[in-house]
Amino acid sequence: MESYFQLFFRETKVAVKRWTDVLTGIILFFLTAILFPLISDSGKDFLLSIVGPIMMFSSFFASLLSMQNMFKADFQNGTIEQLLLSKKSFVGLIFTKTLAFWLFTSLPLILVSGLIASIYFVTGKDILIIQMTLFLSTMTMININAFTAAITLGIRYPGALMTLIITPITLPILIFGSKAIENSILGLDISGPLYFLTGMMMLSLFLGPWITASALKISMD
Amino acid sequence: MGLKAIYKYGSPPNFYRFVTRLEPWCLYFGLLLILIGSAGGLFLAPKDYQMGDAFRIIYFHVPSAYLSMSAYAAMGFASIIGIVWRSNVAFSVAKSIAPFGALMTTIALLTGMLWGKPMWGTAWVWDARLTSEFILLLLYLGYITLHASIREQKKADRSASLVAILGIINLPIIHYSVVWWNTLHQASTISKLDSPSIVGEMLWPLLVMIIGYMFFFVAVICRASSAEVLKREKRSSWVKAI
Amino acid sequence: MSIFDMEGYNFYVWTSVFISFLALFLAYYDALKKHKDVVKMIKNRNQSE
Repeated sequence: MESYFQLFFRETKVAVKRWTDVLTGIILFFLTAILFPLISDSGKDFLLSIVGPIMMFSSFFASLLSMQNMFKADFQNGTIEQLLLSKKSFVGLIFTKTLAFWLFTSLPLILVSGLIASIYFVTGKDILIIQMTLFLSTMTMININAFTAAITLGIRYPGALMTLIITPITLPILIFGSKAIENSILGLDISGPLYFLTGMMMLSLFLGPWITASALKISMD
Repeated sequence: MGLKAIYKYGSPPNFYRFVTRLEPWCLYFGLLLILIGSAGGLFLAPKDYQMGDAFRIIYFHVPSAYLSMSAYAAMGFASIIGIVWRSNVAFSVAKSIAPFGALMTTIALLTGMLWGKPMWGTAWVWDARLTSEFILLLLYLGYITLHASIREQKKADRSASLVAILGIINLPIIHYSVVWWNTLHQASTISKLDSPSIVGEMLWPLLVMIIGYMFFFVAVICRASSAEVLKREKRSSWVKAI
Repeated sequence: MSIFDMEGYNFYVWTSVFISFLALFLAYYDALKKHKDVVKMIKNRNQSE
């Protein structure tokens, strides 16, 4: 158990040291989200009708770009090899690492999203629903992104390729996430999409670290 | 059967011999069926009372769409075998399926557009099946690009296979989420022409076409994967004897 | 023959027939070419050894 905490603290230190990487995600999220009212109609009805897709799109985009180099530095300085050699289960260590990464790249997005939601004239309970949807969907996305980052580890410029691999896999999350936000704003029942998102989150939390670990093993040897 | 059979047919020389013997039969039989089917579809089948002659595109659209999906299933199956038994033969089969599957998906999309233009008035609607087909194309392209951009053969094989397997798990989820999204957005635009009931004289050319495409697919895969196996085994002694 | 006069659908039907056959041809031709190239390469190596 202790080594998991050690890894977690190490990730925290790294994140503090490379605070620009953490900030990149938030800036991207914020800018893409506020660009839409700036360049198109800024009427209340229009913004309320597009807030769902835009929230999902911006978080997808931000987490994709901030996770491109998730394993790269650790791969180059040999940390991943050390993790692979350690006595603890590699899958567990990857799970810890992914969770720490979520804490520093996606949790800020969820906090900022409340602010953005109020720019889009969303009020009251709907803001909480948006944050909840983002919580569930970023938890899933981070596992998908970690897998893709692991599998494209040996490639020098993985950006376009990662997008190509991630987009089809993430699509259901984006569809159901924006549906949940849309339904909540229209005052409809949101339990269906939220159940789906929760299910996908559970599935990705169980399968994700395992697949990521095997992808890393392939990329290592 | 079981492991013994896998080792017997999974060894490259046996696979190569088996595949090169199988290939001409599949090719000629497939071509024959495709010719019969297209003659039947284009000339013999009666005109559809609702869609006129444009429905004849279906005889070329449905087989390619059908094949694009079953090719993906075959690719995923080969990838699983490759990952589990570390079989080079299975990897080369999976690799040679990918371009053909992508091609078939493109053809399915194009013929679908050519059918949609006179029927719906637009070449593209955000229909569930069209969108899923497009996503399928993205999955194929992801596999091909990933395989091409990793230089080491073994690593490329195994990484791309992981992506293919993930795609197999995800494909039903993607399909049903797109269907669900679609039914909420535009249910009534195309439902009238959505499922034309095909009967009797119109049906047999379609079935013949599908079977013909299948055999043709097997022939192409035999040829391409035998080339791939030869390339990978170029240093072994049985290759030199050919 | 009535099939060549399809009330304005001519273009759509025959284009899809054409691209389908073109795709089938290209797929098989590509596989054939790959196989030929590999066999040629192996023969060259055998001779040079």
